[in-house]
Amino acid sequence: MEPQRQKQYKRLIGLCSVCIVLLIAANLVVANILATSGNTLNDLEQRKTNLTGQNLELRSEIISQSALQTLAVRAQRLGFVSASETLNLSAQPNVAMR
Amino acid sequence: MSKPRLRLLFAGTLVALAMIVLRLFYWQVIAAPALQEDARNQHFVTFEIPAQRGEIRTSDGFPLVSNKKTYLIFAYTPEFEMGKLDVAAKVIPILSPLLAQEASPGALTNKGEDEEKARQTLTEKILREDILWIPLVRNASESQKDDIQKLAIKGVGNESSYGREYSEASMAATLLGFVGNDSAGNPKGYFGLEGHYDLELKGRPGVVRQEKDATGKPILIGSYDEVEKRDGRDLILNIDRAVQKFSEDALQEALIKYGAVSGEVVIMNPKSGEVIAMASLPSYDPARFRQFDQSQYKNPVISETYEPGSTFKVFVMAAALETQAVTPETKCTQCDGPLKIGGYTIRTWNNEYFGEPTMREVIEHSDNTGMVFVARKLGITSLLDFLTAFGIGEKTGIDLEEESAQPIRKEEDWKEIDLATASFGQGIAVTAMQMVRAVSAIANDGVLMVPRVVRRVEGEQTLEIEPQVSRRVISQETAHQMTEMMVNAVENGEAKWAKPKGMTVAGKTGTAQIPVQGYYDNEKTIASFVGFAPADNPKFVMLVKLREPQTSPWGSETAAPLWFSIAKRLFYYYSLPLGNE
Repeated sequence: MEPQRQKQYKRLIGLCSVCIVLLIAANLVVANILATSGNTLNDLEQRKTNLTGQNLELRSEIISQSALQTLAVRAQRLGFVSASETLNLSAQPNVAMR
Repeated sequence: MSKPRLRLLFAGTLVALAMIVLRLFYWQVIAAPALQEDARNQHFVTFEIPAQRGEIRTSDGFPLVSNKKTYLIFAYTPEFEMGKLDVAAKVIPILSPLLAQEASPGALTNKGEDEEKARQTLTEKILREDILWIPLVRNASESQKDDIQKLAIKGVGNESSYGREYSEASMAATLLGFVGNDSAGNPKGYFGLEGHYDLELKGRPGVVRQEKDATGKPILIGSYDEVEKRDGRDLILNIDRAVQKFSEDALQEALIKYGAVSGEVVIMNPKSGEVIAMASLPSYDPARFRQFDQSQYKNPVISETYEPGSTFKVFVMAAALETQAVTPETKCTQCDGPLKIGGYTIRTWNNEYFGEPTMREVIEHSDNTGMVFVARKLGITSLLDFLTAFGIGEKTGIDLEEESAQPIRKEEDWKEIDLATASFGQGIAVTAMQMVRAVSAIANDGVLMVPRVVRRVEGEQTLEIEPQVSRRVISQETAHQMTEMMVNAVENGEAKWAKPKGMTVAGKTGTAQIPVQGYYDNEKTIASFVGFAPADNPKFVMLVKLREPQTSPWGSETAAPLWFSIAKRLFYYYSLPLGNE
């Protein structure tokens, strides 16, 4: 084999080796990032579950506060009473409008 | 090496090889499924995403029934790292009060006894040898679940799911129904809307299968399978929350005021069949349904039949008017005294007689002898035809579970006395819903509608439920004649004192004796009032029914005032004009 060609092969082998080392390193970095992302994903899912639960609880609280039973009790506590008499207005127009 | 030694070495190698082959066979073939399962469990995590059951909302969009997160606490015995009795001792103080609350009949029993029973039940559950996975308590709250988690007992876990929350407590309980569990332990709706619309409400849980790392965290580039959950669909009702509330409040007051055993109020839009309110008391708390007697689960408005008494007269009279057997001015020629039919004597309710009253006056005085006259003119065949057309004896088709109907007897089984008593609503059984629907036909110009509680089913696909006409029962003219007679009955009849000024109401009182073991009990009555308003353009039909009122047996003195008190609030609520009187 010619020395020139031998040199070229050696360079190619060197280049391939460097590429392999770089790819291994890249793989390690990506795997490391993905492992952290899995952790982040897990955290996000936990947060989603917690927020969904909180949302449900808050909604439940709003519903409970706006229930007629609750409003009736609160109105009574604030001193509101049912009207004992109701004035019925006639549908007839008054004198000034005739 | 000598020959025997070589043979021994050869044999030894063969045995060793055979042992390796056998061991490999064990791992590769016999133990393979279990190892694969272990590998799958190490690499994958599978969990269920619970579906939310649909909400039930009133016409204003307010959720009468919504969801809250609950937890199922379970034990998986193979994972226990301590003795079963030790596990029981740790979890019982937290779980036994909850189990006692679920299983006990509430205030009727001793709390201490219930908790002791719950402790025993939990211990028995944990000590069971025949099952590995044991559900300990359902419907645990967030804090109870946290308390159990803090104990960090290996083998005791939880699964989240959704439970039902009733924002207005027991309001419309018999209408709503409740959610229990089926034989497999899955949530299932029973009675009322929960039962009837269970398939729409329940949805379908999702499942996720995901690859995980050694610490249990998901691997982003790993395999991921998901069956999406499908939440249940929401029901939007025709029920008006405010009307339901003040109807129930008024009914509750009336039960105390008149000393009645039970009562019902049904309000319906006669033109569309929309059920606006349906109240029945006594009721139960659907959130704690197990604490109540099962007899209270059924909605009496659709499942309990009763003899309607004089309120039934309007159908017999409407049939007679339609067939022109009588007119409003026809005079009764047999109304000057009691009537003898077979071995029975038919009297008026107060034993007063009016000579020759017109048909209008027969309804006004609620004259039983006059109604016998009408029924005789009409004949059994026509009477049965019209009663069937009014929907008596058939299910109304309302969208609620457990509706019942008592079929009308065949014509050949009717005797003269049956015709006579049916004319004033005795000896014939109806449900409150059948009565409201049939009176609605008079209010709706003679057209019978199918009653509807649900207006819309909302979800991925929305389903609007349109008003549904059953059939025409009587002509518009007959309906107007009958309305006018019912208005006259309210204006001049026994209940006129209860009617607020300016309100035009078409209605009829009813007082029916209750049959007990084949005889009518003189002391026990069902007092009722059915009517609609405003009479010229009805916005609502309402039936009020009180069972065994103690202050007075008469519908005119108990059910009618309750009817008018609710009607008055309805007039204000709907801004209906009150005329001048």
